Amino acid sequence: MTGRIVLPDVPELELAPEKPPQGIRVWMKNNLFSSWGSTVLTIGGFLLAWVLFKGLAGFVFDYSARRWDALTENAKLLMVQNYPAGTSERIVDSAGERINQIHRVWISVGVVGVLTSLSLVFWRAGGHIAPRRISKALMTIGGVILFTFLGITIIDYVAGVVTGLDFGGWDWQFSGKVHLWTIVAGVAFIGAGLLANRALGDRAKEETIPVLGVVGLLAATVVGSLWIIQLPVRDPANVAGSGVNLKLFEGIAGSTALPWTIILAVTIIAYLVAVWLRKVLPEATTRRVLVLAWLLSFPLLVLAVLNDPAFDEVHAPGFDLTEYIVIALVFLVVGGLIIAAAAHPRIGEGGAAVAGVIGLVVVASWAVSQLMIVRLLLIALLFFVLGAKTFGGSDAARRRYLTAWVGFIIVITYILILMKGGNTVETQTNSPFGGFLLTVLIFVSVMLLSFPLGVVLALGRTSTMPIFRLMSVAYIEVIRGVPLITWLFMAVIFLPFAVPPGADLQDVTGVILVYSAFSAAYMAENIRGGLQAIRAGQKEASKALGMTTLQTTIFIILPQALRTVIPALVGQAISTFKDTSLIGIVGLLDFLALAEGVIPGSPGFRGSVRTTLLVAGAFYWIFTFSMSRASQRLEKKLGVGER
Amino acid sequence: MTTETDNNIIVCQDVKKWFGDFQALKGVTISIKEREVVVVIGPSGSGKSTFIRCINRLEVHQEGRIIVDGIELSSDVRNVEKIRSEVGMVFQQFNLFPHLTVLQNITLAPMWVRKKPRAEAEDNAMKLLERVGIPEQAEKFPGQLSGGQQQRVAIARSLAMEPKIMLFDEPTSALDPEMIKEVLDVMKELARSGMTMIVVTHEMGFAREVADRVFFFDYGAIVEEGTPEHFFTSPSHDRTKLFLSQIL
Repeated sequence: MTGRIVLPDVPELELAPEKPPQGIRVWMKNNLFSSWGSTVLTIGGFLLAWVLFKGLAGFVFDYSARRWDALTENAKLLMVQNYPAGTSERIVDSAGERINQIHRVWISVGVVGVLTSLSLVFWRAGGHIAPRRISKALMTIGGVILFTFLGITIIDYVAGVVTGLDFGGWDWQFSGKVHLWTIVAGVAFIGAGLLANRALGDRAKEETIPVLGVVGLLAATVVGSLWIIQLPVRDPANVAGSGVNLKLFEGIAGSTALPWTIILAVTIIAYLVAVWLRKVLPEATTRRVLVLAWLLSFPLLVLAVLNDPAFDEVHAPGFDLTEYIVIALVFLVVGGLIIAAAAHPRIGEGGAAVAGVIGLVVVASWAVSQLMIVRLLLIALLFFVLGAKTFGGSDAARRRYLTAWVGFIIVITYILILMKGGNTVETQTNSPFGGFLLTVLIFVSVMLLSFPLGVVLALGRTSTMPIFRLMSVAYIEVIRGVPLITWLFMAVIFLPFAVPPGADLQDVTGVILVYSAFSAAYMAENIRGGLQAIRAGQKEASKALGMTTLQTTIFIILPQALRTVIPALVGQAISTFKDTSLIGIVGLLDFLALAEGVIPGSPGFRGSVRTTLLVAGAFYWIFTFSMSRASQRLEKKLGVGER
Repeated sequence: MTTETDNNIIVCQDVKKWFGDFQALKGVTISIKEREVVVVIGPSGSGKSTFIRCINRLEVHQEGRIIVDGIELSSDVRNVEKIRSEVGMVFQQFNLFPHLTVLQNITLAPMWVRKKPRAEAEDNAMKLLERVGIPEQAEKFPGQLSGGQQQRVAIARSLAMEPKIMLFDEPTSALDPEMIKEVLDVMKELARSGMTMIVVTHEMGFAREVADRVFFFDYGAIVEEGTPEHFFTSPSHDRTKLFLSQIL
């Protein structure tokens, strides 16, 4: 650097004091009471919070109004409804009693936990947060406890004195020693936060605490509480006395302590093992295996939860699973050979001839009486042969393409098995099970099914092919123009007429299909936004390299478009999750239907609806909030919005 | 057709193109020999970019004929894809694929269009990155590179398809001045190696040094053509003189 200007020595400037004066009083003056307007707003806000909170959730402090027992006694109902009861002879023990099948659900949860652990390690998720944020969180929790408790009590008291009316306040707040403990807890939280902050000093701002450690600790606390926590519940036998008894999480909720502990332990062990494995295994390959494991886990777990592992109990009329599997095998081998030939670089224009012949066979298969599955597999084969030139070529490419065909056949066979394998789960209602398990099943199925359909529709709507575009536009506009509830009713009322005679379409299946179709239309619009955000130059560059439209779409356009719309897609996932609660309207007993209708309606738990609804709301919120936080981290990691 | 001789790799006859009512090309007739380096200059909006984009059919001409390497550009998709895989193009805005690494940017088309095995494609890509002088950037993403480096990757990406012809659409116009030279150096090396090139540019120094012929476009037509000496020392057309006086 020759042209650098050398500055003359500058006398050291006297620096202003590093920090403005601090302290709670200064902070409050600056932020809450800085002017008349803000003072009014602050006090008004607190009063509004008091009115709302006391009206909506104040009852949780009133032992005669709250009903924790409605939740702890019905925990299994809320989670899986009537799931484990089997009908098959196989799962009846020698005494004729049905064998409990719920371990399948527990194992599924454990598998998801282990996969999550491994993925967190191999994608290096997590990171660190500053202790300051934790101490702030502790103080906030303590503050909320004290506000809802003491604050309301004092406000009630003062309001009572001022107006001369009775707001309850003092009386119902301090009706048990538990309330004192609540105050102690509030003070303890705030104190712990303050102490930690003071003890660490400036180090509190350094990001040193692993996020996943905090999450693990929280999970351990929740699971631990299943073993030890006591809740004050109304005891009908003790009406004469205080009417309050301390009870452990007895019955159902308490019995989950052991499985949850095992699952948490396995998950944590998996995490630790994965940390070690990361040093040994090649990262890229392991990630690919994990993605595959995730993709496979959902169908396999559904199979594990819904069906007996032995598939010989095919009881659907006119349906021979063996025959179907033979057909699938024939297609696997013969189709594979045809595709391998069509994907060979030397075949050239001969591939078009092969496709033409298969096209004729497809037409013929619809003209003559033929099994539907054969027709569908023929159409699939036609598409694979048409794509062979684009995706075939070198040996590696051909192997990949053949793998796709094999995967496709496996998926088809899987669906057949799922549809027709012996169902060991009792069907009391029009659904094999309910509760949160049903909510999750519907949510995950709808997301998995609607995503590919949404992509195709979005491509269709932006396509230059008029028929494809017109069909996509028509589909999207018709679906979006009718309320979801209407579609759900159609799923249970119209769809059964649309399936071939003999097929047994359960309401759950119908709802999943229709909800997926509905969700896909919205997904398509979101993805279209991403497609339109891609600069024309990307497409031109890809075409200039000689890539076909299909290759350009798959390798260039879609990866970029989907990355851009992650926030929108997560937003849609969240609303899909919440809207699963609408299925209660067609008689399926999902989480909300149980919490709002079934449990408060049963004899022992009348009057518990406020408690169950409040907790159900909190339950949904925890999941949606976690999803939105996870997506924020994902966006950051993928660099959405950067080029 | 009399102009279709064996060593003319590109033949354009009376090419016309409209955007709506606006006629962008008003009958362009050019023949370009193999190994020839042609520079196209002209004011903006003169149709020079439209013209070279017609050669690999990023724009569709409505009248006239374009024959590239013996294949006539028509609406037949197979012809278009064949020609595109033999005609490389470098854009003003680089148009690298931002979600792929430099190496993946270069190997994608050879693997899927030329059907080369991955190892061979990557080998070749590394050689090309060495040729354009940035082998150390192979694992980075385009967003992490400077403009000049990005444009050199874009050139390597086109070369990976082993094209017979390279089209450059104002390759240095989006670059900071200190990065123009590194891109022009790569292009000069390419020209000396015998590549057939059509370059739309405002870099007169490059035209003077490397071009075999210079075409001057205005209002969708060729106003003047000739060797660089003729062009820069004794242009015959008034419009050309005016243009050169404004930019030199």
